Amino acid sequence: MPLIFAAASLSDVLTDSAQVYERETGKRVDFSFGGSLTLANQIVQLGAPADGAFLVGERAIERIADADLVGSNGISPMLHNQLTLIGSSDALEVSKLSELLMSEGRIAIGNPDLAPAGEFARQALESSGIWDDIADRVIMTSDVRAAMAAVTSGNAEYAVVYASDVATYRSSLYKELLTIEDGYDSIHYFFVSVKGAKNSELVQDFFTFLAGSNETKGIFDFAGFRWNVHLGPPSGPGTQK
Amino acid sequence: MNSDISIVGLSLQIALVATAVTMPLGMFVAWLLVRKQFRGKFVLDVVVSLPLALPPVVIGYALLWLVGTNGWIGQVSESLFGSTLAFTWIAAALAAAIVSLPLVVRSFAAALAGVDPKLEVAARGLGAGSVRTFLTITLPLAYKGVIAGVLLGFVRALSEFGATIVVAGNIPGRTQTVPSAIFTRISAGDTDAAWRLALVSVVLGVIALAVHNWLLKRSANGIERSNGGGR
Repeated sequence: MPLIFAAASLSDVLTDSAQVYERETGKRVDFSFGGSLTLANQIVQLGAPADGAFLVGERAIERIADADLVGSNGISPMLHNQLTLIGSSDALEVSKLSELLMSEGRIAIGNPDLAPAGEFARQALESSGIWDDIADRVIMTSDVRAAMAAVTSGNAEYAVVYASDVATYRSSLYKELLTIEDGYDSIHYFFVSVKGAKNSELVQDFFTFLAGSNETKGIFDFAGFRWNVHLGPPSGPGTQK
Repeated sequence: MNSDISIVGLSLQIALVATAVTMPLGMFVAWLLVRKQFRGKFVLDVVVSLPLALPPVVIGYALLWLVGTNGWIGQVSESLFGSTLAFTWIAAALAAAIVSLPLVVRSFAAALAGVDPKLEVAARGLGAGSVRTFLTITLPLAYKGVIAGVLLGFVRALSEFGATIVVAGNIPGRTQTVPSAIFTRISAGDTDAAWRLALVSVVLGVIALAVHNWLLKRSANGIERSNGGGR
């Protein structure tokens, strides 16, 4: 059975899509979800048995490309995402990032060394000019879902997460405060099969199904992802909207 | 999300295989430490006990470099099976075995030390070889302590997290054990599901420790009685 290493932010949509895939084709896929940079390192440096990877951010996918592990179908930029600021249910309302200075609460982001979401969040906070002032109350988590959980468990007042995280997990334990539209590199998800892996063809089959089935596309649309299968390489910060 | 039952099942499988490794190995090492005098005994003791004193993540890292693409075990398995052991359940079992070995050795050593060497000498004097003496005299006299040690090693293997997540990752259905599933669920804010598995861990731990303590108490009584009778 093929094993796909995938960004934590894709855990819900891919798990749901794999069920559709199994129902329609009788074939199954396994996933290992985590921070994209963690997963890329596991594949490149540690010989993890991934047949495919579905990762977010250029840095993660470049590590795989630099190690010459991209399978025959190349790198497909698949999806597009955006950042969102969430807060605990009793958090102070903010209408722009710089207003975070008015609160004393902790701010959770992914660890930029492990999770691209953290890198994008740091870029956004730096662009708004407040990073240096809030750096000592930023909590870094192993992936973006853990940043969200820090808010829902009451251990952080704010978190910068993906718009898709908010769309897939609605809860009264947090509130959506602000869609962060610019100030960070555009967020793309890339799909590759791993060169030399046993099941790389099955991975490609799953990928083709994902992009072709209306039902799986609907799952991703509902979660707030935008498809850009036909898009070329991304063109730098602030391109969306 | 994988079902609790399959996660517990995989954890039990990993811990059982780890125990199958530590049982004979631990018995041999304990016998060397208790009954034999040799050069390097001190070093053997330190090496076997080291996992008690190291952060499990260091053990995982060391193991990763052995079984991963760069290590000699990894290269051997890559040429034999086309893949390394890194990020497989076998790697998880190896990690659990290494981390639980010192506890097993210590328990076995205590159990063997409780057996009067004169009985072994007598068996040898009557013509039994060292293996036969061990199997027919030493082991039967020490069996309660030995079972207690096996149990202790088993629960330690079941609860292993730090080394496991480094060398085997946290892949649902393949290498995700009870502790790593709890970690994922905590990270994902899935608190009810995290508590459920935490509760399973507590129940398994309590049962194993209760049996362990009961066996040790009985074996202590047994040794007192046999010693008293012998005098």
